[in-house]
Amino acid sequence: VTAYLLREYPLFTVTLVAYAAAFVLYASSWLSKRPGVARAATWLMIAAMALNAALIVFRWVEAGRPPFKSLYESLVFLAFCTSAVYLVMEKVYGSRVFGGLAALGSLGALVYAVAKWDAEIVKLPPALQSGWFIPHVVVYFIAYGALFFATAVALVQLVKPTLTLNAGSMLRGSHALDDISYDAIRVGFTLLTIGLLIGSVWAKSAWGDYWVWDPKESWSLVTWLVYAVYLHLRHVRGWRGSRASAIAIAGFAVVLFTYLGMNALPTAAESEHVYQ
Amino acid sequence: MSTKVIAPSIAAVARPPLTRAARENLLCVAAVVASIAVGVAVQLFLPPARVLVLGVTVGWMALVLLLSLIPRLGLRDSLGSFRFAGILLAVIAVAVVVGTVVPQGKAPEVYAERYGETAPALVALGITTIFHSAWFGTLLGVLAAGLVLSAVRRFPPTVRTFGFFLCHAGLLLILGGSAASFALAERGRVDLRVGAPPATTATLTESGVRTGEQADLGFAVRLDGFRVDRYASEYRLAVYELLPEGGAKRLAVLDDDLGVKHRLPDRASYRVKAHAVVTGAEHHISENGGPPREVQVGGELQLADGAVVRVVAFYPSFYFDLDTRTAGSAGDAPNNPALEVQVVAPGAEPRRQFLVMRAASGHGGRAGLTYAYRGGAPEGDPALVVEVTDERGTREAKLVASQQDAVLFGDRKVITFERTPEEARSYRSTISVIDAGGEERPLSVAVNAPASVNGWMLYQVNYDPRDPSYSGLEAVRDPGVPYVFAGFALVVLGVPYMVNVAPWLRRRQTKAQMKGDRS
Repeated sequence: VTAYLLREYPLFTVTLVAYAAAFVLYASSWLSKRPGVARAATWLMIAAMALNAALIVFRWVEAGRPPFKSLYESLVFLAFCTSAVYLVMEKVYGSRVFGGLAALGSLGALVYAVAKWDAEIVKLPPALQSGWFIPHVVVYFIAYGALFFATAVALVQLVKPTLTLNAGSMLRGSHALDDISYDAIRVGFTLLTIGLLIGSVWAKSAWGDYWVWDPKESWSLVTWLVYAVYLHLRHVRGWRGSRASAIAIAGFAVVLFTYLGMNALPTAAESEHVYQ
Repeated sequence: MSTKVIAPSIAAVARPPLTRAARENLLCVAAVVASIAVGVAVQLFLPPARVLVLGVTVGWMALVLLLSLIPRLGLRDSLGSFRFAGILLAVIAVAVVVGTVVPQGKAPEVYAERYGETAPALVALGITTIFHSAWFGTLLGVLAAGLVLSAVRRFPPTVRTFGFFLCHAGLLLILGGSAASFALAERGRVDLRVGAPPATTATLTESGVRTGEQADLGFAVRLDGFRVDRYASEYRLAVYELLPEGGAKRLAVLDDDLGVKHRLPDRASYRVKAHAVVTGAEHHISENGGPPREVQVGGELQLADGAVVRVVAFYPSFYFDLDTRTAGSAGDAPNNPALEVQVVAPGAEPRRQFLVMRAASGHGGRAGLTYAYRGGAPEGDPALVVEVTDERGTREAKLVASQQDAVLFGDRKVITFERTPEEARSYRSTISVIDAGGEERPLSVAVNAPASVNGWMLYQVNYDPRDPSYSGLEAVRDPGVPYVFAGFALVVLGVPYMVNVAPWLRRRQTKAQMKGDRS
């Protein structure tokens, strides 16, 4: 069936292949000294992101509603946010070191989307017909993109001592890496805060209460708390560098669980807030 | 004698005075442990009333703040520190996680079944109602104290710490507002029916369960109408995989453009050869499970024993009024198709009988007759003629949407033409609110669009698919909301300032300083 879907939806398949190719090029640029390889990787990543945007736009038109309803749709959007945030960071820091991980992240989201393929485009139920729907989802997914980037940097920072790569000046000195991860988490945390509070205001108008300890709500609070811990501990001696990286990675594990793991919870069955 | 003298001096050598960081660590952990201990003690030995939980939370906060006034304890700097925030927020995060892993607020039997002998302990410790437990309260109390102390340490605000003050004041407002909600919010159900007298009270609920208590709304609310709008249903060609455990999983919705060959999974393909509409009803009667035979209204059917079935009438939506003993149809849609027949057996009086689809015949009439109705929605029943090709060859089939006709192909896959279910687009109640003076005001309540009446918010929360005259509203009066939302506004302004603007200001200051040093 997977082969059938990939043949039937060429735009999706091309996007997938573009991310895979971008990954290969970014990864080769770790080993190659030729600058052309890295530059080509960036252009491929931009192309993949544009294709990904087209997927979202077409889906929006076809569904006649924002394409953020199902898990499949959200994964496609996550792939886009991951690559878009990465490309901004690449520009800001002038480094392509993390491109491989970003391309891998977007690719992973799309591969998982194939597994969670929508057999039909579902209609928007009354509960999601709200002006808060788009800002809530969009803000959260850009946050996830930023936090993914922070985690990729933190991962590189943790494994760096065991790696010898020709990865440019960015990998010299761990302070720079730590700062980049911190920057991304500051952006991600700001967006998490805004997304959480938008969700809470929305819950008030939809459910009648701004906080109901719904499992998804609780875990989004846990996510926020973990990154709040990260931000506070940075001011405590001894909590930068690898310890901070460890919290950043743990934080993203919580993000992933909040996003994908809710069905594992005994309390999720009663929630209206969980991707099926 | 000599040992007594030596012992203290060894201790003095082996334990150097605590460093500032170690002392802070110790105080922070002690404060968290003490908070939990006090909360657990209250939880175990006092009744779990909301007022009590709130009292303990506020009392604990006040006590911590009072103790922080004693400089020798060093609480002010420790509990206002980044370190304390890190430790406390992590502990709160763990508590929230536990609250999602252990089902909350269920009946004791649920826990007994799930956790066996440890269940009573979990209930007593408040782990089954974490978010209303005294120890979660004391954790929030010490959090509030920490927020105040961290602000006291940094007072007064500067351009660089402005975001910090906004954010932390916002968090305090949120905590205060939620405390007000926790203690004072009322929520209850208002069940309304069109034509029923207006409701003046709400049946209060606690965590979604009706307590039986009534709250006076201070106004009357009457249901004038309730409407469920649905998305129009559509017809579509779809491919399913038959699952080994029974049932089927939809794989994709297919194009139904005419004449174009499309791929299917398992190296199969299909082509839509015609779009058709099956009009007019087809009626089939079978005898004792035998093959169905088509009959027309007004026509006849010969049974095996020589009896004749005359088809008198067709009722698309059959009902039988027991009082008047008359039959009729509730509408033109084939919701409950039935035939009225006369069974004429040789040498017997003709007998009237109703054959209802999917129901055994009988009731004094002739047994063993089954009636099947095919197609024939008044507007016609869409169908597709499809040609399917797989390794077993090519075949053609007419797929009628209402019949769930399907073609099997490949490895346990089927292609079918189906009508999508009508999904709800909106639930909307039109109500009239009547105030004490008898003045009426029309209002509308829908999901995501509550109505506000005299401090109460009315939400659309329930409906009954079998009773279109019913609508369930929820009435909520929550005095904490304005404070919580004001807190949200401060946090939304404060966090970006604190984590993005302030560091930038700091960098700029440092740069300017370095320049100044050089010159």
